[in-house]
Amino acid sequence: MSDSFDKISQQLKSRHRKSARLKYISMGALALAAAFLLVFFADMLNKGLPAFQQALVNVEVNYTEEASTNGRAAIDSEIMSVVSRSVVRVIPLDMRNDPDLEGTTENRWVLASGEVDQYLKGNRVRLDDEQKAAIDQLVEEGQVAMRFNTTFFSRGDSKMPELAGIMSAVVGTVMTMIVTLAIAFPIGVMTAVYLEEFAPDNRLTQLIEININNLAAIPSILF
Amino acid sequence: MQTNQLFLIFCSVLLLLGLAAFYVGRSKATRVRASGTSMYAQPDQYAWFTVVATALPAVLVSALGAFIMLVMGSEIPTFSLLLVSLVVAVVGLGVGMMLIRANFHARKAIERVIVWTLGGAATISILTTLGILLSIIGEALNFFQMHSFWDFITGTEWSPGNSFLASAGRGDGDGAQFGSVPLFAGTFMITAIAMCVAVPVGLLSAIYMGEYAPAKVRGVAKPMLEILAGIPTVVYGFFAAITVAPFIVRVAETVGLDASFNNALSPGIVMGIMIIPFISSLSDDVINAVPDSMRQGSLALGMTKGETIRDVVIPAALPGIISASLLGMSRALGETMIVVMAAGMRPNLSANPLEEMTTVTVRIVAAMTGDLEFDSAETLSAFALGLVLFAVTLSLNLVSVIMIRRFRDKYRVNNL
Repeated sequence: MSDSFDKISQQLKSRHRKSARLKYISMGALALAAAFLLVFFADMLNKGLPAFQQALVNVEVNYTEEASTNGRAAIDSEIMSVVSRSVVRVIPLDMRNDPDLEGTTENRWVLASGEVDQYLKGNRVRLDDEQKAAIDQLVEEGQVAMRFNTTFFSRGDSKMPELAGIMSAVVGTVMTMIVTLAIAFPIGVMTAVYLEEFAPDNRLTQLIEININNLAAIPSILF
Repeated sequence: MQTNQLFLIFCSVLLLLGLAAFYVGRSKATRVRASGTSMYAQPDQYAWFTVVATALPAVLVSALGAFIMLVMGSEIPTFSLLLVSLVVAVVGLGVGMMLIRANFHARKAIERVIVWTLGGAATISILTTLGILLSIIGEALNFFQMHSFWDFITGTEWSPGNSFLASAGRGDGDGAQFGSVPLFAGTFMITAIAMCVAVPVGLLSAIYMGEYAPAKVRGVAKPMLEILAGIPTVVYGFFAAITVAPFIVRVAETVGLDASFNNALSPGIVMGIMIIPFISSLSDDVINAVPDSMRQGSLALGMTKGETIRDVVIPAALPGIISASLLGMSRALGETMIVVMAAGMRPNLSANPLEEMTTVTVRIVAAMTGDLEFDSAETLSAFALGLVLFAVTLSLNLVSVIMIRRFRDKYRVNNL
């Protein structure tokens, strides 16, 4: 016995509904993938962008005679606590390279210590409330400010977080890339030309093709 | 003299010889031609042939010498080796000159050299695979001499303990157990989570892009998905460890579950996101390769579009889809950086993805980057693990490649 027209058109409706559902589900999958990408980038930017800023302190550097052996003497002891140790170390060196400096004073923007930097970026730090208040005061006076982080691009590793940069890592990466390219490019192109233009379609050629596909999928850790 | 200088001198002499070969060869060929005989090839081709005849044997001889020194360990003085190579070059130049005759096919000879060079480049891939395999097998055999293969495959306890002391001559390394089951359980758990994310999202995205999306959307969506594949895995590792893991712990807390910060779920999910493009891209290609006549036939019989996709297109594209999933799976099994950063270090045989567990690749990294002695059982265990990993991923890849070949032959498409 066959179904009535009514029954068939009823079925048709549900079949079309199912068809539409598949479309929306698949659309949703793509949207989900896009959402992953968006969340990922937003998160990375959010976490990474502060690194491009760095806290600097405006200090008066007195190149006194004492400072030529002990850099701490060149900077007012009150503001000393927020200045990076790296600055203090460099002062005697500067004075040795340029003897004319002795006896002069100059106002300079120098690196703040890592703790201050982290505090201003709103991260957890090991400072007590008094120190935090002092930093806030300095910020208000315009003595401490966030500037673009040039250290990050121009320096290598360092024990002091405020002085660490990616330069040495970048050089290493670029070197590795050059070597990789120098090996992969000629061999890759030559292999492709051989397989496409010259190779007979025999067992060996198939083996090479499968093997190349496979080479790309070998876990990199085994290399 | 320094080896470096020697080598430089060798290169420059060879270059000069090659240059000389070019001009001498060409002048001879021009002379023969000027005398009125017609030749098989152009003078320039004879010139290039003499260059090849001069340089190639010399380079081969020196490369062979270097290889013998490297492999056999026998001492050949660099100076005499390079000298012999230069003599060979001069002989090659002489032979090349002799061969310049009217009835010699210089062009074909050059062609043959080119084909052989290209073929050589193609076999490098096979040699690389063999090299990896041999180096892993060699060290893995060393490991299996210390610990039984059977214990390694079936043991459920991974505790290298103080096996590193044994190689240093202190203690005998008793109590060290190398049972790889917990490691592989962790690996497969994380892989399974990744596949649960990647297969549905990737496959459905591919269906949408292949069957529904207007060309504009497709043009945007496909490169967008491929961005996901281009992100370095270290960055994914950050994402998993810093953002996803704490998020999962917080969600688990609100539900009343106890999750570790090194839970298996976060690297699994992030790895799944990474694999989406592998699956969607290949599946999309496969779905596009299904011939239109099949869709038309199905629609003509009164099936709706959804039914056509479900009952006609997907079954036809199934080998390709499975092959894409297997490729993604082997990628997930071997993935290192995400799990190193986000998964735990403690081997743990558990079915709860919220617990800390470690993977094969994490153990390999831990064993190889430490300052342990190289021939200690713990370091060598990395090679045994690597061997098993290699075997698993190799078989997955092979099945995948063979399936996609079947599909290609069936529908006669060439761009897969």
